Amino acid sequence: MSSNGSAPLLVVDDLVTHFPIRSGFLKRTTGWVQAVNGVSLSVHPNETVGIVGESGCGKTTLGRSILRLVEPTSGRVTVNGESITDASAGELRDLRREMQMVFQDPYASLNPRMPVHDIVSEPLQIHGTPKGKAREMASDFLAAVGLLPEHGNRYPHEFSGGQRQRIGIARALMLEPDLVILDEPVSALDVSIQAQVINLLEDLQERFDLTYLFIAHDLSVVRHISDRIAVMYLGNVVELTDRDTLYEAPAHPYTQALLSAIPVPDPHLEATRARVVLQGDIPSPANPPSGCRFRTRCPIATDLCAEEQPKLTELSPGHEVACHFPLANGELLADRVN
Amino acid sequence: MSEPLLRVTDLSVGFRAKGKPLAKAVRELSFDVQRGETLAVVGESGSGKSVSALAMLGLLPGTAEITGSAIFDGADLVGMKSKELRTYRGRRIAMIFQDPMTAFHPAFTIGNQIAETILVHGLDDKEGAHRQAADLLEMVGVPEPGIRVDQYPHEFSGGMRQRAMVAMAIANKPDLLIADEPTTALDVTIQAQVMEVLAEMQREVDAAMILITHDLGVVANVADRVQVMYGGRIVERSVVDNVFYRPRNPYTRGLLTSLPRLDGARTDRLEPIKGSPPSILSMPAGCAFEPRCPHATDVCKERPAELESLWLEHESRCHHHAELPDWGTPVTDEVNA
Repeated sequence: MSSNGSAPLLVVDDLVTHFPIRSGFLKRTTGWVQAVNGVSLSVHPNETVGIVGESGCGKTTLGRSILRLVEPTSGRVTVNGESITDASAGELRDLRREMQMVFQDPYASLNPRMPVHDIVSEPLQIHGTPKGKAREMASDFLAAVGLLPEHGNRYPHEFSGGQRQRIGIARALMLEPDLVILDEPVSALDVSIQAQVINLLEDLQERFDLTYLFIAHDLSVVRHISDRIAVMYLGNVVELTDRDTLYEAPAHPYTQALLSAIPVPDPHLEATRARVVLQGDIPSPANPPSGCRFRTRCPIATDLCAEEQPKLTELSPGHEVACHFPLANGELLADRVN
Repeated sequence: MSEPLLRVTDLSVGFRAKGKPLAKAVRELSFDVQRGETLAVVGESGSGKSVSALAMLGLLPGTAEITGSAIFDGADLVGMKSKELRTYRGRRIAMIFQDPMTAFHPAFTIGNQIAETILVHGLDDKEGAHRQAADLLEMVGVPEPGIRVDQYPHEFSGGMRQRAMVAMAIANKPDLLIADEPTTALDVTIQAQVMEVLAEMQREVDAAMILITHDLGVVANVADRVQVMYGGRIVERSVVDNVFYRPRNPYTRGLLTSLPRLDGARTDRLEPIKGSPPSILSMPAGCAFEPRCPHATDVCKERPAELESLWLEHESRCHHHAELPDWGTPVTDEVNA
């Protein structure tokens, strides 16, 4: 799972996605929701990059903008060196063979009127495979995700949440994509089922040489599955590094606060942890703060943070942080505050 | 030990749909809640953890068939007339729901709704109740309570709404708070704020709390005792340390090994529980967990296990609780083999 040496599979360069806010009788644009605000990252073959953040941070919009399921405002995305952002509708259809998406809600993302083998084989049929052949392959992929061939004749409502998510995964794999964007693929599932699906995703990655962009809000799940992780806050990546560095030496105050906010299933540890509880709510992406977007909740913000937005800069090789006052290796935010 | 605040005995809840067998969501549930303690009820969807609380408060639809008893301070809540039950709900027992958007009425101001719970239960002073509502909002950390009190639920963020819900719950200084997944809909940084406020307010009014959740992290943080539910029954119950450090039920152990962890070293592979939870329409004849259990034997297929007392307030419902391997790192290996 090394990311060095090989050319990146996915390159996102300064991607911006703003949504217009329209109001009044003439539906004039009165403002912009700045959902994704200049995100750059690259993902190497066979790598899993996790995108974490709270609601409204732009992680889902980022995933959809990469596939152009929503149209980005500016910036550039390439997959295998081919530009997604410049592709025509026809070219885009061909490019989508290489990149697929698994959605969060296994109840809303499957057509309730279609039997499962139709749901799973539809992508192949769209891309020109004859129906009989497509069905045959659908059975193979259903088996690969742990479902039985006879499940193909049933409808989505006959399945549990975990099984439905397996169907969604089978559908995404049918075209044998290189890149799979997984948007909160396990957050709707119970813990015992969640672990099954995570293990399945890891097995499939190995078997089919997949590259994952794994979008989630649950830092423990992201830690488990990712090689590198980008933390997002209000449309920006605030920290980007490999998994172990992020959890052992988080340098951005937001990353530290996020990690310390998560209760861990260990009563003694819970009783002794130094916790920084962030004050206030996440600001609206329609009206983000000036300068650093985290400054309104940051316990160590200064005047500089209100004036100038910090750029994502390399702190050490492979560890990028967007903060004027990053925390040193081993330094706790709680100590800096006091 | 003194008389418990709440004693639930053999509470069963079933739902009957036309032409279908009775779907038993809760089966012979018995537990006590002592004054001032926090009891966490843990389980996955369909384990019966929410339904049991709703049944006690008479909040289930008329199709629910409820048997057993729930003695709260000398009076049985099960079968109580709804008029009488209303004198308990919101005054002596308050509930905090998961989704504060649907729990508040969208067409009345937050202050109005908090004041209403105060007025309904005795105070005859509208202005006083309104002032009290503002004070309560201040207590739970809503900024600018004087302005916020006259705003509508949609003007509040999710975290603020949940704070307002806590304010409403403690308005009449209840003896028992029932919090049903109070932070599940919230982001983690907001969850930390709300859990802090909830614990503080619980101390402030000196109430006991039943915390219903699937989040073992939240449980470790606040609970005194824990009961784990599966298939409508309690499968393990003890003080919080025993459940996390010395679990004696295969289901509890499975939950703990399923979780990816933030603390400690990262494991290469999660140990999920195989299969999926049973449907309440077709429960296994024996132990409900038997089809998924790595330790199951023939006896588990034949008859359900009883909730047995092990030692020091530690109970487990498992035929093999005495033979389970030691808990710690080696256990996962054994389960694997």
